[in-house]
Amino acid sequence: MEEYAREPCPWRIVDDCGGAFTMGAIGGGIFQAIKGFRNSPVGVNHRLRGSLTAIRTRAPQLGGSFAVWGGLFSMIDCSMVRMRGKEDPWNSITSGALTGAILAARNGPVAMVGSAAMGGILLALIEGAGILLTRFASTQFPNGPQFSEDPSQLQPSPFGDYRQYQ
Amino acid sequence: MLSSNHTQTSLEGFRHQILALNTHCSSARPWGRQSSTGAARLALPAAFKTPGQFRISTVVLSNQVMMEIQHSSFIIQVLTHILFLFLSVKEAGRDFTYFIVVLVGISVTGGLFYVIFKELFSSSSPNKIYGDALEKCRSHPEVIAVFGEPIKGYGEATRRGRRQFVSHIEYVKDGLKHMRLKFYIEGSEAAKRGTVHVEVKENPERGRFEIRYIFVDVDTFPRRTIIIEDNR
Repeated sequence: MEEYAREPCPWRIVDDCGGAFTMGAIGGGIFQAIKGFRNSPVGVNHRLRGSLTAIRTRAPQLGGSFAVWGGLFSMIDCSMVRMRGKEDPWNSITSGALTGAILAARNGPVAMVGSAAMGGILLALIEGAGILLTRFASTQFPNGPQFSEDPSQLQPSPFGDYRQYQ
Repeated sequence: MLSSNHTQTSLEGFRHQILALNTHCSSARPWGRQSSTGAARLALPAAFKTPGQFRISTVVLSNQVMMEIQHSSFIIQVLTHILFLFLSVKEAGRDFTYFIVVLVGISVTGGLFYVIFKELFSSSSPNKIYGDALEKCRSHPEVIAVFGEPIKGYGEATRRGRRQFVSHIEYVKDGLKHMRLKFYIEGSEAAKRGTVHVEVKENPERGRFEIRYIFVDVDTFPRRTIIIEDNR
């Protein structure tokens, strides 16, 4: 914990943006490689060239749209952390829904609602997976959070300190 | 996939036609009101214009023939059922695989939704207890005096800069559920950070968690402990 004393929030936007771009570019690259390979004329040479062209034209586009999503999401998330003064799963879910709504704003209100619902549901699923993962990790390492087993051991130190101050 | 679908739909259509014929026969039943040699006009569907038995679409039928038609249509129906079953057994293996895949997907999604809803809305979830304890910290004058007015709370930081997870431990003592949480608060005072320790205990009568203690350890130099609530 000590090495994370720095506030993560404003820098996290850049971090998320770049992470999303990388993810989209790599994922889109793999997908477009296969698609370009299959859609090209017969012949290994043609196919490889078609695959390369598809990657070059399409993968950065997908990375870019991922980056837009990630950056906007992170911005809203950080604003919500700032406004609410609290970090919990609600921030992620709300900012996912808001991001979906904002990015669909040009398609009209109905599309906005649908997109917002999709974003919210998606982020809720991700949050659920995260909670499950941390729970699973903490059952694997039972003494992960440093709590003393016996409550009576915890008791004297705060009280002793407290009474000295009074 | 395509061909099997095709057989299914055509079979389905066949069955519908037979059923339609059947209902037609029973609704046009002539021997109830009319004489025993009463005639019924029976419009046969196109599928039955097979060479041999039914060539014309409108036939005048005696009672006995009516009965026979009903009988034979019943047999056809049973045979179709058997054929249908036989055909579907062949696809059952593939359908079963799809079914399992769909089932797994639905159950995983449902499980994730269950986890997140429980975390967000259950009154005994760590997230809810964290929220309540944070509210109590915010309204405590001593905490405000030490840390400064807008107080924010967060949990353990992950590598990606998320601090939503509040570390907690659950245990059972004397048959009652206990839970201990730890989270961090910061205020407007620069470089002051506190660790909040919370323990809740299940109330045996109401089955809800009740706060056992909340105290704040100030982590930076003038170390001290602020006790917000202590019901021990």
